[in-house]
Amino acid sequence: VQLALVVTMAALLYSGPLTAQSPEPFSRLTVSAAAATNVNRVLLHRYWRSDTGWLMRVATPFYLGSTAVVVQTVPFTPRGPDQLDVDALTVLAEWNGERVLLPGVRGIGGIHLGQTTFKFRTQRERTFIIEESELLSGVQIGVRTRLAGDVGLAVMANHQKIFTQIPIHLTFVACGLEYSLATPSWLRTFLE
Amino acid sequence: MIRRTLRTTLLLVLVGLCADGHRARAQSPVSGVVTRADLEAAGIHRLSELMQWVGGWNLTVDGLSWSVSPDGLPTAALPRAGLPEWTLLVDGQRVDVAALGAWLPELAPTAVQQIDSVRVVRTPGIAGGAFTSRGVLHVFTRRAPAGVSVHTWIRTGGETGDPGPYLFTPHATANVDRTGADVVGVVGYGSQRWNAQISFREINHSMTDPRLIERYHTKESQSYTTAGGPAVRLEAEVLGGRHVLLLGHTDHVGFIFLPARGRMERSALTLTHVGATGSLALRPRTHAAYRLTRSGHLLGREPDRFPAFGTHRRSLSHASAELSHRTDAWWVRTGIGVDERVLRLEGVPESEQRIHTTLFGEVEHESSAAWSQRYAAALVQEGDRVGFRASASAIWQPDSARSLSGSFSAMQQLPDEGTAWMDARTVEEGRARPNPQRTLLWSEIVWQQELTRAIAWDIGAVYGSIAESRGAAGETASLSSGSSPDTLGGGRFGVRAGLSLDAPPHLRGRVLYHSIAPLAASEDLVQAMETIPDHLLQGSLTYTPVPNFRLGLLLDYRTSLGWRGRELSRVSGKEKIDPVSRVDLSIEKWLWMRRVHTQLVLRNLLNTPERYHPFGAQFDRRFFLGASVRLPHDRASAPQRLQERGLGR
Repeated sequence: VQLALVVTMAALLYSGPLTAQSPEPFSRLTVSAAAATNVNRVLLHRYWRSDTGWLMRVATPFYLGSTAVVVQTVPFTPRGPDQLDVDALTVLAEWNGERVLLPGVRGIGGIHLGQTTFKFRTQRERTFIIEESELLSGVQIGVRTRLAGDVGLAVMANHQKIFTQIPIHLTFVACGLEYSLATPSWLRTFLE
Repeated sequence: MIRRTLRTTLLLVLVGLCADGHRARAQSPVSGVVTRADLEAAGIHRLSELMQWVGGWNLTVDGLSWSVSPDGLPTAALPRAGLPEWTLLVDGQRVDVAALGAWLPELAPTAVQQIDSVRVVRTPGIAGGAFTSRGVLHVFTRRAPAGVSVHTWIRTGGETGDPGPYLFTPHATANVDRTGADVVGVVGYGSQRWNAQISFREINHSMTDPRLIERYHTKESQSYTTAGGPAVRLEAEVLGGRHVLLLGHTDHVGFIFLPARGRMERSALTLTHVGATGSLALRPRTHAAYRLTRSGHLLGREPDRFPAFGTHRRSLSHASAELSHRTDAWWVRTGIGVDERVLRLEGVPESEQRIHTTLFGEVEHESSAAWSQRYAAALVQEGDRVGFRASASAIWQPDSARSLSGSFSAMQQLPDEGTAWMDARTVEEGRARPNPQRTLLWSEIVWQQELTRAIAWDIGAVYGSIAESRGAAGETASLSSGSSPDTLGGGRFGVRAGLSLDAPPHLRGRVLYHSIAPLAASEDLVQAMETIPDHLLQGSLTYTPVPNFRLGLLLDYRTSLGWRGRELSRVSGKEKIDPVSRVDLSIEKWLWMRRVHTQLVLRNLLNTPERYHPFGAQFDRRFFLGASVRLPHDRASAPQRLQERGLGR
């Protein structure tokens, strides 16, 4: 899966110009909300079963390509009585290149860096009792298409490596809607 | 294989880049300037981290206390008493940051965020009203901009390697704490004649290696060290000159490494620094300068069954005055300096003191087309003993595309200079022995050439020697943990090479290579030199594609070390420390018209084993996230202080 993602992303980035017409840095915001599901199996899944999670993504054109901030939360349900419920809250920054694949369809691919916080909670009380956070990095690819006006559909796959003592490799597929708007002038001034 | 390829690629990128349009000047191997931009791009936000940029052999146990050996002699972290150490100057004022054999830069009354530039001098010479035998780290702080200004900064980070969700499974491993938060706040006011800054800084440094935590963490003590405090800097241009008043109070609570005991000790250390420096124009070409400083330490420790040292106070007071005169080609100065070190042990009514008086003179002749020369000499007197130091240096065609420089220094070190006698009184009472008088020689020659207008290189050779003599006059104790009457003597030979790239506004980089080896040296010196790497390669590259976005890359490679059991009593035989190869990455983005600065720093990106000392931590891949707000906005200007003379010398 890692290899496929890396090869696909590299092909995407090197097969042509990043964008036909590069927009001005920070000129637009693309806000998306999506459902995310974990599709691979590692040691972690011997103890937990991953449930469907959610992510929120805000992207904007950068000096080269685009950049985005992503917040993703995925709950993990224990498989046995010895483990606690865990919510994995991930905050990451992405850099992406983008190009037109087909008329109306854009391919996107890039790298990300962020932090995952594992929040443990008891099964009886919905109270967080402890949390463990760690650095992560990875790659992502996806396709975007415009549905109507400023609303679009995005399907993304991302592969994360979490740098715990026993590294955790997680691959997610996310599908959701996105909305594009001009960046408010005050926010653009701040970002520049 | 992938890591090796990546390392090779990085190296090739560093040495292979070329560009046109701007003239590069190679940083001389004997001295160099580190600017604020260099520090920011490298993600250096603590004075202790600055040691990575010094370019000499440096050594750390925990990442907070450091030792530096610019000339191949043992570092302060080795139990070798009485050797001269590096001198730290802050705006021309000597600050005593050495305590109990450790070098604790965080004690200095300034923060990295206040630094304008740092001048690193690796050769002996006159600085700060004294003859410095093994180099100077001179920190120049920034002046506050006109009007009222505010600067706040925060950074937090952590090491990778946490157990994560496996914490409650059979795969659980030791937890790794995060480090920080470090905070700095500065309020300033600037006008044409006055400049004032009040600052506060605090750093929180955690032990991140589970082995260190297991070794030193107890129920009564925390596994982190806190250092910081307030400082005031006042600068005025009055009475025909410029005057600087620097006040600082630093508390350092936590662990420091005691080389003599070969262990870390939980302690409370306070440094109070008061200093005034200034220069006056007596005539258009004649200036007078003065320095009055006092650095006072209070060292205490938490109750312990086997305390390594008792509560005590130590201080360094310095007073110096000098006269200088400049003509078109000549510059002459002469002066006198007095250093007083006082030790007061708790419960002992009498204090001990050593007073050293230094007479110094310096002559410089500048010529851009031919040889520029500088000669310096100093006499140091303590009681009925006198030591003599002299240095001579010359540069051929200093302003041309090719230049040749050379220097020679000879120094007689008196037995009780420095802090070793105080360390011996407080830590090594039971194993005191006479301290030797030493004669040190240091010479080097450097060839520097520009390849293109953007790239320059230099290559140099160094030779140093040391000889000890133990006369009946030596009465004080030393910090040596060895019991044999060994002698540190002999020579060492080394080479240095550098490559600099300066293609503004986009690219800036440098690569430095150092190597040094013993030459007809005593067994003692050979063993001491095994604790510093034979070869050191350091590189940096800064890429600024647009004014508000910058990428920085650092490379550090050093060969393996060997520590003998005789140097540290708890190590039996010889312990080998593996080579360190480290790659760091920094990503910076300015926001809100450069009022806000954000930065992500990844250290040891490839997660290779990084360890410097047998008792030291292993540093894994780690990350730091920092942000600062500066009002009014940060102008990307050239350093203010590089060309200034007078106070800085």
